Amino acid sequence: MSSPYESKGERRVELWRRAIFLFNRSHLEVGPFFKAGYKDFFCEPKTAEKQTPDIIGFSDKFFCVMDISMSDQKGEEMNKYETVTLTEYLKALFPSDVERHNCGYPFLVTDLLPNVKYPGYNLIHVYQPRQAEIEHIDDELLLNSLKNWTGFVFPVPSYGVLAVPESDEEELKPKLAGVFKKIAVDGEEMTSEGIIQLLIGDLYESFSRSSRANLRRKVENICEIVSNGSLSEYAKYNQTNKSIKISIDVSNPQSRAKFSRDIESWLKIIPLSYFLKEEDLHYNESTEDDEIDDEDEG
Amino acid sequence: MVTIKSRKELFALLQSICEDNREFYSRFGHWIRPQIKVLWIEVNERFVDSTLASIGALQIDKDLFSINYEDEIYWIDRSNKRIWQIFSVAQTKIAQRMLKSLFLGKKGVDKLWALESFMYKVQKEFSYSDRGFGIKFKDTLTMKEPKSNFSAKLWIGRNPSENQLRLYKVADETFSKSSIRFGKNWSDDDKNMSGELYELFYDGHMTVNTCDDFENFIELTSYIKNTYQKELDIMEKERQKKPSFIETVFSEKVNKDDFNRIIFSGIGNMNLWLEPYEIQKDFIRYSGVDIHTGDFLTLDFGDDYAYISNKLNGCMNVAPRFGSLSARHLSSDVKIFFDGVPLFV
Repeated sequence: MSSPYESKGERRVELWRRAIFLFNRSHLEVGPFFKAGYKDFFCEPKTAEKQTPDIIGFSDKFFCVMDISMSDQKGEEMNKYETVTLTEYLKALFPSDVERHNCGYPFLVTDLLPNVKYPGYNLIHVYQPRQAEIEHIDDELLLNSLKNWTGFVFPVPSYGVLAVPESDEEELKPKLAGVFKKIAVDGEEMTSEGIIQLLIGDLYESFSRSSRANLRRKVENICEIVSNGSLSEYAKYNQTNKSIKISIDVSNPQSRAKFSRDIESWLKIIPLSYFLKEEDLHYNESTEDDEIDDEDEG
Repeated sequence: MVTIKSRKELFALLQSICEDNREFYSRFGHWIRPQIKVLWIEVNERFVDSTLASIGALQIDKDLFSINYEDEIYWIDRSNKRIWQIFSVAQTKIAQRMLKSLFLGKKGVDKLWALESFMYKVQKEFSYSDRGFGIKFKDTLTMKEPKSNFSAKLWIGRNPSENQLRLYKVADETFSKSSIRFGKNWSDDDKNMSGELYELFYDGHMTVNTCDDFENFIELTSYIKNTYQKELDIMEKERQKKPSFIETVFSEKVNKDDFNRIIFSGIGNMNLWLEPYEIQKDFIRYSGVDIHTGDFLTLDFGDDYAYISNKLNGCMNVAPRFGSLSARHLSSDVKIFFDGVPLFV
């Protein structure tokens, strides 16, 4: 089974959550890394060699290096993590009585099994049935844990990760609705940068400035449209500051309920672009081409 | 009424109430035997000054303030900066009215929410014995009338009959408790009873029925506020290090439609105003705001469990609040975990 989400944005959000849950547990499930003692982890760390994997996990004796990928080809460069060491900052943040060693080859976590599997890393597929292709792990506890792991059965926590730069505007809207409620309670303007910090959560630093700018533009577009349309009664968009303010009497439950109803109505609006399917676009484009051809011929 | 001018005088007054009602009579001029009430509130550090300023509290000693509300005096001890305790001899209903009017509803101020496990932890810590419990259930989640609604207090004496014990056991296993009563006897002589007897409530207050050792009483109240804060600190410190979540496990299936009604407009003490952003058959993901602090959070709701993820520097009082109130609404057992470790136990 691969990710049930069709869009790239939703797929990536869920893949990040599942990768984090590998180091966690709930009363229903235990992540295989958590089970092997890797209870601490750090997202988007820097190694002493200035490498930036997506996650480093820590047990008492070992650390593990992990990258997250939705590509069916990635993995070619994973061997760059094979010899990395921890910075003093990470050692101080997650102290241990003994010097930790890299547990083995780095891990690539994916929701899609690759067509090409390059050598030099361990592959973990996070949907059932679990498929872990283990190449080399020194930590026997981790090795056994991964061998016995059957994959996650239940939904994992969101960890406050709601969006990634690939998220499209339709995916962002219901998530922004929750953010709008926070902005209303604050009673202050919030910039588009502030909004994307809430949407990306702890992974904010994981994405490059340019990819965050991509997400920011989509958020700004939605904020502007909604301020001039469905939520114009409450929302005011400041074009200069790229910020939005939402004014509601939040002390009044009836006002809050009315805002929720209006949010519901807004979320039900289906944009015109939704009806323009890919084949429609091709058809239109080809029609235009035909017309031009006709003119040329004429 | 005599004006209390220092912490020492306050303690002397409370001690005198504990020991001898006559002392109260000599100070206040009437014979109604007062019972000491302690109310705990959680004040987010960002809102400490604004909270004090807004209630017009008068400082009478270091970290000790007093306010007068409806002719009753309340002494506010904020020696613990985050968990304040308020002493009073007012009736519970009046004290709760004061709390609602002056504190609750203000940004950054919340109650101390004592999960059942936390209440029993307190009892166990001081080796108090069971003296019964209270059940108070009002199904505020449902829209249907008439709403389910009942309450009972099952006090247990030193020699309960077999039938009494049977009833007590069934109630104990079936319902979540709105309060527990615990105490200890120092004398077995019925004519000359001495000891301690307290009733601790889920929504962060306690009634002192009797207490012959004032130092024990102060130790008990300090333990409650300090232990509660420690649990919050642990969650918040760990949250600083990594993305994490609080897990709430219910002993029965939760009606999500009813929960949706609560969070749709953010009504009740739950103080959560949320928006669903992903709806599956047996799982709903929400994002929104904790009205108590204005913190952004996400809540993932399964059939009999929920995950709360708070942002960095978010106030974790949402966890015991959500747990305690869910237990009240469902009248079932609720446990909360962090990193798989049970909290408030």
